[in-house]
Amino acid sequence: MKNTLKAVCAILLSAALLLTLTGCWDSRELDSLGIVMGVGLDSTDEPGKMEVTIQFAHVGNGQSGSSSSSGTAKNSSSGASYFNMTENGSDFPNALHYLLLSLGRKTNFTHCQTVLIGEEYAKGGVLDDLDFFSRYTEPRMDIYLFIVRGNAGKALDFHSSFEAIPSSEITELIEDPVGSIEKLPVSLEEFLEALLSKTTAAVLPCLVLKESNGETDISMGGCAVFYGDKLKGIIPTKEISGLQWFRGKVRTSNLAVPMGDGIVNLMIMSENVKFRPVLRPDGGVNMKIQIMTNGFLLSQSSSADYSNPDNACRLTDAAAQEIQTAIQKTLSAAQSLDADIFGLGEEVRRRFPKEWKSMEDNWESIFRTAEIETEITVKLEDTGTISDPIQPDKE
Amino acid sequence: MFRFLFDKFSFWFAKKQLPGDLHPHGDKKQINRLSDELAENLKLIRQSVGGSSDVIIREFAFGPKRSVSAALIFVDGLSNTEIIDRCIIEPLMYDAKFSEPEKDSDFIGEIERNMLSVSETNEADTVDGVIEGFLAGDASLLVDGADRAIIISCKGWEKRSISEPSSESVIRGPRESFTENIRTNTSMLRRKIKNPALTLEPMKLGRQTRTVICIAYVRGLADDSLLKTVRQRLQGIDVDSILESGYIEQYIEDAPFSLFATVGNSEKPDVVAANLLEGRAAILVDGSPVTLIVPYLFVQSFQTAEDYYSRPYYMTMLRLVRYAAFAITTLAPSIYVAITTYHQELIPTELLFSMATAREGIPFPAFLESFIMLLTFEILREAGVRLPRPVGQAMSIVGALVIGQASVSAGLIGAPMVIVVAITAVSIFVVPALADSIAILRLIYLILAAAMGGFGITMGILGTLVHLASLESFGVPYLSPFVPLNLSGHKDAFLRAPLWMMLSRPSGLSARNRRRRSYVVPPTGSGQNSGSDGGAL
Repeated sequence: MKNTLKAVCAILLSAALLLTLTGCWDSRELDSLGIVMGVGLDSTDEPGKMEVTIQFAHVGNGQSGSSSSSGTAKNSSSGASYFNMTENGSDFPNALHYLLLSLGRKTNFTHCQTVLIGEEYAKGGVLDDLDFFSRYTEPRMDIYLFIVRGNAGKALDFHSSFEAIPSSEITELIEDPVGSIEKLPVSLEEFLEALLSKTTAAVLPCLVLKESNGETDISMGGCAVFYGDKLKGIIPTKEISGLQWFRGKVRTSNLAVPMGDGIVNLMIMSENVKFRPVLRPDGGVNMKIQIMTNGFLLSQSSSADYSNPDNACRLTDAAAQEIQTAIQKTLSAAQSLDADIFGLGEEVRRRFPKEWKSMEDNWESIFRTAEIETEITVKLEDTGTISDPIQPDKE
Repeated sequence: MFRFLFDKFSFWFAKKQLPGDLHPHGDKKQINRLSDELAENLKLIRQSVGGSSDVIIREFAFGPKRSVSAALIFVDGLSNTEIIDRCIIEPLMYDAKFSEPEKDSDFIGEIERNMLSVSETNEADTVDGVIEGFLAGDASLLVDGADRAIIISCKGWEKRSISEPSSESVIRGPRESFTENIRTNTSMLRRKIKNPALTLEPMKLGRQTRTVICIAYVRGLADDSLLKTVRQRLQGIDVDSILESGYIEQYIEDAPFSLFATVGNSEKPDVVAANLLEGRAAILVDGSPVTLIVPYLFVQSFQTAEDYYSRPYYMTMLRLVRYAAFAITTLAPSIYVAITTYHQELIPTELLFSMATAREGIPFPAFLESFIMLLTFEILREAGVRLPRPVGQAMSIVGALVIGQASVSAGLIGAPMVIVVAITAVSIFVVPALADSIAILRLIYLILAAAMGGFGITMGILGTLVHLASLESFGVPYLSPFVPLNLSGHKDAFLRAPLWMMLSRPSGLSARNRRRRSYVVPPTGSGQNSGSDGGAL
């Protein structure tokens, strides 16, 4: 009896003590983390080698961080600044492995927000490296992917104006789509999903580097189109708005409508899209798109009074025409690249599985001849706080 | 698990109990009956009380010829000497009503009936009865030639007056609280419930202290099985002293090894009255202003008297706040440790930067950091309770400035940790009934979080819930009305439904007489609440 008691006591005591002694292998104090904010992937001159740039948040008590590659470390009120480290390797994990030789802390990818891929590098395929980001437990699936027209490592070192850390500013740049329908946020998850499809071409937003006064600046510019996981071409900024219209993602965005003697700007508030493919008798496929959208008058330089129903009607018709043109432009650009960025093939496969079998093999040529049939309704809901155009009386 | 431990440990306790150790006179004490010789009786009593200076034995003679000798025994300070002078000695010595005692006549009864102008008298025929009488504050009158003594009620000792409760203060509601005097306390209950069904069953416990206790219940509301259990458990107590109701609580609780209390307490008569009217029983203990309430359920820790005195909306919000505070004070430090050491992805990026900046240069791991802070808080709290009042200010300066601010600026503790411990410390006072359990539970969770992160916390919570669900208080499931689910009970759990909606008493209590109100419609002035005749009570 006494022995049983002793045994029970000993087991309980050691179990309790064990808890205080051990910790899981992944237990990490905050000050022992190398917090990765962004990753840049670039090609090198050496074949089979890649250049990896990792942006770390430099948290500390105000001391300015040193940047190993180039650029300046900035401090902000939150005490965060950044530094970039660059290493070459055969693939991403390999480069990371070598990078850790010169890093005193464990990398932590849980707060990594952006992965920038250099244009040149993307041409050789990106799937192998993205595998790491989707497989490893730390990175999230909502990381934003970008193609950089130029060197991705350099883009990570750009002169950010609002945020202390460039990656954060890039994220902010893409995350807030208000005002611009040319911003096309694509997360890792969405990109991988698009890559899984046989016919749909994945797209990624592009960042353009600008040099001014020795400082690098960036802006969004165009959209990169993939063939498989390889970069195929780039659609310029002016031709990509159709994709957003097609996807029904236009919110609080400005639409300029030329109206005779001036230009009227509409603020589009919401959009509702219905889309279905239509088989043509000649074996081709058309895209039937129904768009319902509404907006209000943002500004006008024309002299017409749009509170008048007739004028409003002319305006909405013209706006619908603008939207159709935008979609047509994007379609043409996509057709010239043979890239089905709309996912038309997927939709045909879903709706017409029998016919799809015969189309599947020569889908590229069918897509090249696809046309759009649109039915666009624009509703002018409001003329703003004034109704008449501001103009001197012409009497 | 606790049962298992108890079984393992029980032999240990059994061995420690030495039979006969507690008894002052031995177990088989013979009963000393009073003889009819006064001198003989006084000798026995003097032997028993020893030379205690406060026991006064006043010997005198009365009767027309001053031929009857008698002795009045009382304890100085416990009895009201004015009553003794005016109502006992004066009538006996100066009233001429008393004639010579005749043989075989019931002259002691005659004295009791005719000559004592006091309200309450009893008779005792043993030496122990006499002693018990004067030790309780009464006067014992022994008369030569009689083998019975008269116990004359004249209790009157210094007692604290009724004051405001120190721990359960309210903004709205009665301000009075129980005192150390059980008679005062029972009278306060009686004033709340003017109903003959309110029963106050007396009992004496404690071989040395002979403390008077009292089981209070409302006949017809409290279940017989509950009362049977209470009586049984109380009668099973065999100790030498009961100095406070806590002594009794620890002997009658259902789960002595549990962190959670299954016996409630209150020092407010209105709270006890409300509980009695829900079909519970209360145990009042002489010498303690804290009254025990059984059965006691988990939800009661989150209920206050004021909940029912104010309107339901804000009180419902306060209920939810209390539950939130309970969660915060139990889990905040452990969640902080788990998140910062395991789940950094849960912290918003900006916050991560400032938290990491704050941690930079802190020598201890987050676990140790929070452990130190919690320990410091417990020390401060304990010191705050014990310290003499004038030192209070010095304490708060040391506490707030030195420990809070200086430890941060000295780089011993990170600023976020101070915030976490502060909210933890404040929140515990929202649920004072659970404070003891929480203080320990919190440390357990902290260790689990440090060792296993969020997984550890989840396991800890699961374990706690399983344990809580297995508890019972006097036959009522401890987690009721959550487990087992009772929907009508939910009107008084997370929410506090309007009083007119709470039609029945809590489930598990008062099985015979569930209904307490007889109308459902909201009372809207005259005429609406018809059918309220023949109420539940």
